[in-house]
Amino acid sequence: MRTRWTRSVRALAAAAAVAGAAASAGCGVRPTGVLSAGSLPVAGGRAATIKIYLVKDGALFPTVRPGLPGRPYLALEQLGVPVTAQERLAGLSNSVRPQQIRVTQDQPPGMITVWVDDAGPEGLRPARGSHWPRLALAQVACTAEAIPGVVKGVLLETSAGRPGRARVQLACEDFADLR
Amino acid sequence: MTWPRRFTGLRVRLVAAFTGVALLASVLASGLSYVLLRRVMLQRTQDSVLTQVRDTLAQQIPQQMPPDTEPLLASQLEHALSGPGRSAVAVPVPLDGSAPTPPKVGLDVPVSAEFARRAMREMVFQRIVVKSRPELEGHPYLLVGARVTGYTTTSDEPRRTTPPMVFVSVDLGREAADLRAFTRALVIADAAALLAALLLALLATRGVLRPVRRLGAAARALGAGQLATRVRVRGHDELADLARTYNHSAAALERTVAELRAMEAASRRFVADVSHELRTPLTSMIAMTGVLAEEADGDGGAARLVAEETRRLGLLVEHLIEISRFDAGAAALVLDDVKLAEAVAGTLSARGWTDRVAVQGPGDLFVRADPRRLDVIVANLAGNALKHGAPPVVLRFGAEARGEPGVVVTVTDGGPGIPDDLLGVVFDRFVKAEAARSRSEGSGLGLSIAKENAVLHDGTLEAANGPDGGAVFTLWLPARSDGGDIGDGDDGGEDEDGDGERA
Repeated sequence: MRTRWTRSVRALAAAAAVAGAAASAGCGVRPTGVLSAGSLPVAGGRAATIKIYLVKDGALFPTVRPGLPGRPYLALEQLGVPVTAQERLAGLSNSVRPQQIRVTQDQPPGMITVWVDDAGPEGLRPARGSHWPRLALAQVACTAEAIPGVVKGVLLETSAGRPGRARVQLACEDFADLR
Repeated sequence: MTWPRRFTGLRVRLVAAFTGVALLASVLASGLSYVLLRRVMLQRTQDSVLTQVRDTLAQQIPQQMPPDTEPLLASQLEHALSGPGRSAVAVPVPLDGSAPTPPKVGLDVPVSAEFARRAMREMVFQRIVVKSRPELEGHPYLLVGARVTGYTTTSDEPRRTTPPMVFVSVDLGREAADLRAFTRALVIADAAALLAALLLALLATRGVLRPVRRLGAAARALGAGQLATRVRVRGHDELADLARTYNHSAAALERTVAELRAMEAASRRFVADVSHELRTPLTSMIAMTGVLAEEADGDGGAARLVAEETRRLGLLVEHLIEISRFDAGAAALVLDDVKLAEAVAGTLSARGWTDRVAVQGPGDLFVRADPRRLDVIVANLAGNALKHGAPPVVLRFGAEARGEPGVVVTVTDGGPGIPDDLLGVVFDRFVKAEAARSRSEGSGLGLSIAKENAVLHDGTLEAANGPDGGAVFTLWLPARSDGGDIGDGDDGGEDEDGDGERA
């Protein structure tokens, strides 16, 4: 009798211990190893191509680059990066120096402001030694006007605060000689 | 270690088993539902996060990227994938095929090198429980890592047109809190189930144990001799069967005992009847053979032998009648205050043993007893010692209390004592010390009658061997100085014509 009871008590204690261990170990959110969630997603973002005016043989030359979803003014921002190897092979170059370019939408609708970092020693004036020659200004003006919805004109501004013109209004038609 | 009855009783064991089974069932059900719910809950969260990451990557990243827009895209992705309880970091994909450097900041949990390496090949996720940060100890997070495939880049400038990969950490604290609340609810439900099981078990065991107790009481009553005890049979279960079986057994036992008693009574009555029938002719024969022996010429050996044997036969018949009276329960006490010294002296002198038995005892000791039966006892003990023992035969008496005041009479002899095999049965009927001797002078009933007489007085009679070898018979009788009669006194002691006395 005694042995039987002792054995039952032991078995009961063991069961309780196992249950307790299982309960304490199994409760809550358990960590896992690295698990697979399937294959990699496939890039499929839909965006219209953008038209950028680069320079070829001293004149503006329109070229097409892929766009990004939700970035309507990407074409102007793309003026701040160097040309691709393919474009270079095709004889294209970029008169705009590599820099950060931002675009803001102004009032009235259809008017935008292009903000540039690199004002250069002459500011936005297309003088000799300026970082902003006429070709560069023409690139900005015509690329901006190629963006759907931009009709009223383009303001080029710099916040660099250097002497010279900090703000110019541009229109592509002013550079018709460069096209 | 011994368990008290209340821990090993049937009720406790039944209740414990019932409750244990109920607890096991409810804990199992709770555990299963907990595991299932947790799986579903986490699966849903994971699926939603993974789908969002997958969709965001697929929608935000075009098949072909404009050059140098990786940081732009990275911040765009981080913005789209971040939110309350969720943070995302986009890092450039290494183009040399090596594992990406896991982001050090921006995420709630660190990204392991293994995770980053596998995130290059497939979309991966991992649940992580924070251990390193004390303020977030035990806080769970879901970590997701992925990059896109199916994009085109240029062979000479792939760095400028390769989209970034993202790591997203999602706080699973809400899920953990939901699980905690669910656990609390389960514990409360289990406790309620346990309580209900306990109550049900108590009710059920009461229903089972009541008939068992009733059966136990009935069996005890049966054992105590109440053969008419029966239990009420209720229901059609095993316990009802048991009660029915008990009733059948009790009835059979009662019948058998009644038959046995009737047979025993018939045989006793037969012995009594025979004895009584023999007594009258034997009385005449004793008288006649006595006369014949006295008148016989010469030595008259044959006549004296016949007279002696007839007298013995008469004694045997007397003893048989006495015994049958005891068996019939018809023996009764006629109590009187007896002066023990006088009674003993009277007994010895009446049988001519005064010189052969040494008497030691106070002269003023009184005992409340039936004088005739006391005489029978003392005569039997002294006669037994004289016949089977050897001198000196000593009779001692005195006062001795055994629970109540009483007197003790011991008769010892100088003989070889009682053989060990006879010691236990010396008071049984027809047991003789000289078993090998087919004929002896006694009837074989003397000590039985003495014992019955002692018991009738509520006394005891014991046989033993003394330290020096002789037999020692010890009679103890309660003094009963208050003088209460035990029997109704109608027995009349001698009742030579006791035919009507028999039961």
